[in-house]
Amino acid sequence: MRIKFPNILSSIFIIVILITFTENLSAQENRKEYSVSVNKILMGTTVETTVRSPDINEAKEALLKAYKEMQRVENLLSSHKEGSEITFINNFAGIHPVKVSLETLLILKNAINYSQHSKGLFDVTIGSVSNLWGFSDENRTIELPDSSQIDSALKYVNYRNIIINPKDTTVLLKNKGMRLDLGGIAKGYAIDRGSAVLKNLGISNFILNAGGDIYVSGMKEKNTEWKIGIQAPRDSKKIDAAFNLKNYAVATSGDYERFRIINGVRYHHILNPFNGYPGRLSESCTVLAPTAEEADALATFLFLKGANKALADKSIKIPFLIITTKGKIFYNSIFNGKYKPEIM
Amino acid sequence: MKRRDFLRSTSLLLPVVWGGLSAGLPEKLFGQPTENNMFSLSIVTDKPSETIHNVENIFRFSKYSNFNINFSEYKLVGKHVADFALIENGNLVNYLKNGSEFSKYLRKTAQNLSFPKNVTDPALLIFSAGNSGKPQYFDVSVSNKLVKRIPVNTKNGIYKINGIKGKLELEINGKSAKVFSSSCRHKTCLEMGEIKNPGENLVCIPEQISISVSGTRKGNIDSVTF
Repeated sequence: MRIKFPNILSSIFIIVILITFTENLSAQENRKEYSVSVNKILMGTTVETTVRSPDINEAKEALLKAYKEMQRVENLLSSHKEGSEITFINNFAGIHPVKVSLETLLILKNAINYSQHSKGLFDVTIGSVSNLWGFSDENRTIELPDSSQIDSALKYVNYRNIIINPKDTTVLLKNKGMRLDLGGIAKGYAIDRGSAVLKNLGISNFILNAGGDIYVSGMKEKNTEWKIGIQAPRDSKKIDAAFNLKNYAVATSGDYERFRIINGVRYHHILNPFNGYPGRLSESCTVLAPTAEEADALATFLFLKGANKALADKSIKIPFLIITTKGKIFYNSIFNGKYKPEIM
Repeated sequence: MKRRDFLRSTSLLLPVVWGGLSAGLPEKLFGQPTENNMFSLSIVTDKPSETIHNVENIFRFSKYSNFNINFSEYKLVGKHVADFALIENGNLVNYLKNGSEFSKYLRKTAQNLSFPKNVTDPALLIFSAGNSGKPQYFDVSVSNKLVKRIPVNTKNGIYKINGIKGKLELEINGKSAKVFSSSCRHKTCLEMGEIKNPGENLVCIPEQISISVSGTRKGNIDSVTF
């Protein structure tokens, strides 16, 4: 009987390939993962990211690109940076439409949507008022404006006067004196963009926290989800509640982020578009949503709406937790049912 | 930072009893409790990517292969000495003389990287494992560069920090720190209160200054929304 060497050889070859493949697979599975952390000042806040990766240099490269992307978004959407598209729109308010990128156009469309859903309690044309207070511009002093100044500025707050033309991608603020302030949405959008960059570069397990607004991707460890704490409004060292999160965003609006105490009264940056003064119903509001942009905008809206009205509003289908100005914690049944927050 | 200072300061990265040192390294008892299953490898290097790659290989085949290792990197300013500083279970280990496999690998890597040597504007890499939950340093960064590490047990006083336009004064009192004064206009940093636990920080955005308490955050919270 003639031995068919080629067949034997091919069998050996297949076995060798299979062994190598299996070894590679098991090497992949057993590859050591590191927690790589970066903390930088960006977008007027601290941006802290931890990623899980078997290759630190690759993780660093991905983080660098994610931070660059967030910087790009800041340069695009900042209302006090010269050269940003939002600054251009503000500078030509009431004069002529401004050609913008499709990206800016879509963000403004989203902002208008949030304004419509919130019946104007979230309004990105709050810029004329926030500019008076000086919250958005880090080079300004936070001041208590005269009520007459606030009344004058309020005339320019109305999201319905943002004229978007999708055909030629232009934006016009109808009246001279109107100002966009995307403070309630831009940071969230930047987080979403940074997260997308990390995911595109193969990083699937990470937690990206920009000034308290967070996107969580994947798992902390094989069988452990990432755990998020909600800071106590009057004691930054204390956690009021904690919950697990996976592939989701969370944002908090608090009266302790940007504020100044004047004559014993706390004046903070979350301004009510209807009266021009800081909201007085909540100390903080935490919202969970599929994107950080959504969570960011809705946290501002529900902070101003207050716990009583927010809990009574059955149209709100997202998880939220509000700490009232009396320090009481309220959260809706969706938050309780799905995330079971641990109240501390 | 001189090599001696680097090793001395790095020993504070973990609560440490500085002992078992060979000649040539400073002997100082810090009197804090030793904790098991903790290590920290701090590296000042002008070649971060190459260093990381080498150290990853060491970890892969070392007794730390199953440890959950945290990594962070800081940009340093000024002249420093590139070198390793290894702390295991609370003790600063002289890797140049220690007989462990891990130290042998470090010696080899140090040779490859020509450590120790003088470098300018290098990176500080920190690999660590174990959860001390104890404060170690007040890390001061300006424009995202680490400019100063003040040990938490340092003497009380006011420390001046130059920001991008003006300055900030940091008051250290016992194991806590707070902003004493700032030339910024917002003054939000003045309202931030004290920091004393790992993970807490003070930030002055206009001056691009951040002061954080280094070390592992206590408990099982991974991130805080605020």
